[in-house]
Amino acid sequence: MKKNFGKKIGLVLLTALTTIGLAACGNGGSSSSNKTADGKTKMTMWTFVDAQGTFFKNAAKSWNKTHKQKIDLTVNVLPFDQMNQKLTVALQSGSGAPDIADVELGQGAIQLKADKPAYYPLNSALKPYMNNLVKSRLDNFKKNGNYYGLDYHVGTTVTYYNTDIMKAAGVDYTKIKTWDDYEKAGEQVKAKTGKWMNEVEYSAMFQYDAMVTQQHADYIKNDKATLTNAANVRVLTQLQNWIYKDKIARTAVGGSIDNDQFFAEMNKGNVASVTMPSWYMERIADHMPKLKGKIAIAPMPVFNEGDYRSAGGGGTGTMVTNQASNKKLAAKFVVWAKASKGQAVKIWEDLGFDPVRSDIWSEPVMKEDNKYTRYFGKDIFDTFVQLKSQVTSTTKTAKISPDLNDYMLKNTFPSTLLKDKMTPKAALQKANDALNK
Amino acid sequence: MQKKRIRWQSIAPYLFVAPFIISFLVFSLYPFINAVIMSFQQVNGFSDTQWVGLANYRQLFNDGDFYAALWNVLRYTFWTILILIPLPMLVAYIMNQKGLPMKGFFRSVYFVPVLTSSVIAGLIFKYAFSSEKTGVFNEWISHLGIAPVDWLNSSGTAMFALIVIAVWRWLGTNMIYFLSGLQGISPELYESASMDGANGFQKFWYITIPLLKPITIYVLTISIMAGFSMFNESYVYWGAQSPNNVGTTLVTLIYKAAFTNGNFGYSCTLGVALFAIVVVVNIIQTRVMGLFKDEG
Repeated sequence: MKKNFGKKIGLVLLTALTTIGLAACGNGGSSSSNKTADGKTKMTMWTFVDAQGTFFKNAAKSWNKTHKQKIDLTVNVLPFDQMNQKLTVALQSGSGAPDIADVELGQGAIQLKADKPAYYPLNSALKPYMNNLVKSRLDNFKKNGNYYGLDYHVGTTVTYYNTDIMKAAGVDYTKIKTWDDYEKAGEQVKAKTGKWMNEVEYSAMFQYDAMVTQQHADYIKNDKATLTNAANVRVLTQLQNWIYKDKIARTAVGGSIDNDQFFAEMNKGNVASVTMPSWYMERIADHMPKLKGKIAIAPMPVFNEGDYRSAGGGGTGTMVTNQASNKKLAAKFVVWAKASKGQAVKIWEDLGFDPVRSDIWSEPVMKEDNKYTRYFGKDIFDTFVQLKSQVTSTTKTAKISPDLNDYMLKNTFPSTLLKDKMTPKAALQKANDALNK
Repeated sequence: MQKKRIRWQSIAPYLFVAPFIISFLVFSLYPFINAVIMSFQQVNGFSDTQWVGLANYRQLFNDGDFYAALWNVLRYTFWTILILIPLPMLVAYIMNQKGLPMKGFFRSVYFVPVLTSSVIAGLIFKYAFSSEKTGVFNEWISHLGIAPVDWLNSSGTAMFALIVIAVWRWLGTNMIYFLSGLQGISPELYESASMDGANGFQKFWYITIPLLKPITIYVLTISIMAGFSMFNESYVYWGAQSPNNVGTTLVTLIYKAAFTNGNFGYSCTLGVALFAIVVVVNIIQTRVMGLFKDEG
């Protein structure tokens, strides 16, 4: 009898454990109440950049000081890949997603591919700020007339010159207006200093994108690839020539300009210039300490008169998911956190980005002492302001975008830039045919 | 009236295996069945699925990337098996010798790589295989008068880079398996062989290898599975896109279909294909090795 009793207890325990174990699995996502005891609305945010998480935590504090509907924001910082996997799964399955999420542009293209995106449109929240925002940056997260994300920055693309190398080569970088000038300067740099004028990416396409869009061109139209147009052929030919004909550049160490191996290469003073978006300032300031005070920021060279001297590059939109407990409030908060005047200044001060709210670019506060003005000088925004109206982007959020990106990095760049196996025209034709199949 | 008694004695074993069975059903079998179902669907969110029949499978057979990936994993599996069975066996044999000094130390040294995260190890190897002349491997070959090699960007050297990391990492694990097998071989066999005048090689060849067969089959089986599902190392080296698919694996494609393309249906199709391939290969392998045959 007693023996049996012990077994029964054992059975009960086992059943209980199993039940608890299973129950715990199903209880991940939503909390039972979405308000704290003192009436604040609970919100969670996922991001993949620590600084952006801190930025939003502080934003919530400031919001609570001035707004009636208070917010209790919990920020989770996850590694990039992991965050996107979790987010994708949570949105697909319809539960477990955060209220607010930072979504990088390339990922955004995937998230917005669905006919009914799993996000809440920010249109009405954006309305009061619309006139002061750089429109092309909103279009990156637009689908069927709805804006689903607001970017941190414009990503104004500029050319960064190593002034030491320029001096040693006897090149005045301010006189470089066209890519022809740039190539000649490169030849001079190579001949006099032995350094590379540039390193060309083959596992990323920031510079390629900028050079295409600066010609008022694109590579996607109506969800079809248009890679064979003159602008694309011109860019790829130019990049290939730098490496194999003019020999003023080589393929980037580590495949892109945005990786540790390249940072070291540039920090050592082996590369005379790169063309990258404004956020590259952060990479330079953090990873290239030896170049402090030696990097000049200038508008991009152009192919032809009338081309833009800049472009928009990269980007991360903050988005409100359709699983948010109070979507309207979340949307208002997200937009306020980036587009209100005080917050836009903070984006520059704390994150070093050129805020999407561009009317503040010419204000004196942008010249105040911070990590970036100390590194690059006080007149950074004097250059950016000139370029404000010239910031456009190639299409990144069409259905075909992820495939196009994949194909270019996998096939087109390796066979034209990494190796000199195909002519740019043939390679782009091949890509176009494959993508429009 | 007789009360029906529950026979605890006979139920108990089932209860003890229940946690495993339940978690297997919930976390393995159910997702597997679902994946098979989803492989016939176009999935845009769980609430928005469409039956597309065999369209995903048609796409699979016309997908050049799929064949490139299959070729890569076949080569990878072939090389890892070719190296990672004889070599660890030999190392284990040496480690098992009586009177070997610092045995414990050497065993740990071989085993340590297993404990490092494959992502961290991958990163370190990525830098070691840098195309720069200062990269570790380029530095080494420079002593032989060979010019720097762009390891990760051409097909043969890229495969080499993947094999090197696999050997570095799994030598220790496989050694442990063989070591445990060796310790189960009775020393008397070796003694009597010695008396019959067998030399070291003969003992290894006629006693050790045959008696390690069960372990060898096990190692071979898991090596095939690991080889076909390799992903981490490739992803750390190249990310989702490797130039001309030099490092693309089947799992890279699964990952890419799901997370860089949002195409969950096709992702599942690739998963089912991978499953089918591994099952077929394992069946052939067990047949060839004579497993499941009646003993005697």
